[in-house]
Amino acid sequence: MRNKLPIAIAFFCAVYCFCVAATSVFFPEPAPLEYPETWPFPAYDFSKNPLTKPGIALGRQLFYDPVLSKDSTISCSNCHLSYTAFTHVDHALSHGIHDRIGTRNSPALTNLAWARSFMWDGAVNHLDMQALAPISSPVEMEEKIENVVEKLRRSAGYRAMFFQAFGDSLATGERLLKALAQFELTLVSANSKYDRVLAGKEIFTDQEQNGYRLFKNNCARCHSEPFFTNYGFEKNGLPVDTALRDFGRMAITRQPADSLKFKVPTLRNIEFSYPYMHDGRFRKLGEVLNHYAHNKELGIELTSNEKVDLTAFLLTLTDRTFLFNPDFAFPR
Amino acid sequence: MPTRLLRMLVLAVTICLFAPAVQSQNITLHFQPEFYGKNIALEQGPAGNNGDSLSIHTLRFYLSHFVFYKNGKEVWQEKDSYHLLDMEDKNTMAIVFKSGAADDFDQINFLIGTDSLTNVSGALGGDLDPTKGMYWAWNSGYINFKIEGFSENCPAPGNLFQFHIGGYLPPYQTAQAVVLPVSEKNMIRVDVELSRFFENIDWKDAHNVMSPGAEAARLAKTLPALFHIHAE
Repeated sequence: MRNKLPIAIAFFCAVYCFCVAATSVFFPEPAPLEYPETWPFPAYDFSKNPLTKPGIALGRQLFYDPVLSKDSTISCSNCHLSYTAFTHVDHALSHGIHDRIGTRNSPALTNLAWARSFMWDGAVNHLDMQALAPISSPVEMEEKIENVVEKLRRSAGYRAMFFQAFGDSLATGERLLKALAQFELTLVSANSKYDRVLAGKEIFTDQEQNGYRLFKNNCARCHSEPFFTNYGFEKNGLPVDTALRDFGRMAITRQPADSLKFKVPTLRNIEFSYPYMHDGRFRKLGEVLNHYAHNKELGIELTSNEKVDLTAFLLTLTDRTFLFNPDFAFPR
Repeated sequence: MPTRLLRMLVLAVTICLFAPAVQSQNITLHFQPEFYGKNIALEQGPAGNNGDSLSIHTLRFYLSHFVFYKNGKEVWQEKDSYHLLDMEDKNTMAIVFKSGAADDFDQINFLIGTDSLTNVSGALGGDLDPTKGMYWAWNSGYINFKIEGFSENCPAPGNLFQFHIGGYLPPYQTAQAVVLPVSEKNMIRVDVELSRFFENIDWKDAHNVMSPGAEAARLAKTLPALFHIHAE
């Protein structure tokens, strides 16, 4: 008996250690971001929010769930539809709760891991924090993040998903935002004809090739490859809309030099992301090109033949595997 | 032999379990909001010396980066040092540094607010969770110091004033360093003399600050003078 006691203690210690390990060590299945080797490293710090399968699944569920809005009518996907490059198709300005109209065109959600700021004026400094803006906006979801978290805590389904994603069933603001960011980070568009040409798998037509040349000479300074944006803020010569009176970046920096500067949008999937510009004032790509075609301020001069060729190139930025990726669509 | 081993094991486990608790005492920093030297409570009009009837219904602020010094040398600093103090929740008005903190020190430094790195680090938890009502959704960054209430001198509707002071980008940074020389070691009472904040308010010019900018930066600079060790 005396000999068995230490063994018994050792056994209990082992069981105790195992239990501690089992509850504190938590390994959700990792799902590292996939992107072409030639691309730069993402700006997003994945060490603080590593992509995991359950984390992305939770983010996707939240992205499509109107629970984020005050009266459960508006989800992220209302203004960011997967089939139209995550923009609000055919809406110059998006409508949110109670059909209230905002002041800006819903941007395409593409290659967000490389973005350093968010919104047309760069109001948001980190992808994690972006969702707070539409959730709290009185013309979008008109809800408080505190209330969203309370609603999620009452849902058994979400408790299970939070447990799988974070090893803890309790929803918090941090976890909710990180999960949404995880899903949004997966929205990588890297398989357009342009990408396949660069990878040597396809070739441009002569017209597309000429368009590409024109693009590099006239547009690439701001719409830089491979993301077709430099993620910066530029003045593109559009006069201010007298009804909206939106002066862009200046509202954030309070620097007069930033008046009428807006975030350079990506041109990827531009075929589907109409209408265009920060306030959606142009319904057709042709109108955008007409705006730039004789622009002394930007030093751009395009003939009508060149506009046709440039358009042919821009259409090679359509990525159907992105647009119709079942992993991005409504979760079923 | 096994009994002796067992006794030693039990002794070792006991020491491990209780040692941290007896090693050193807790250090408690208790923050007491005041108005002209008198303790105040929420929604209770402090008798201002200038006859102004003023009451506060919200006082919430971050204190961060606590560092303890002895003779000008750093002796201990708190890890992940972020505390949200909220007058509505009495427990948050006292910060307890658990065992492991320095046992000899004569100065405590901290920041009013959050540092710039915290403001650009994405979603954070605990006191920094954005559900705490201290984060600006439409101009990313933490509200470092929030004070709201009523003053009969405030020309806003309902005499309501709202000062949300934050901003981390130059030139309008708002985090402020405080240096407190201390003699007490265990229970340290820090007065937060709010009248000094209002001495810098011209009600005609400012009664609402809700975004980063020159006014927020100016008011932030007045905050360190609010904090001082309670004189018996």
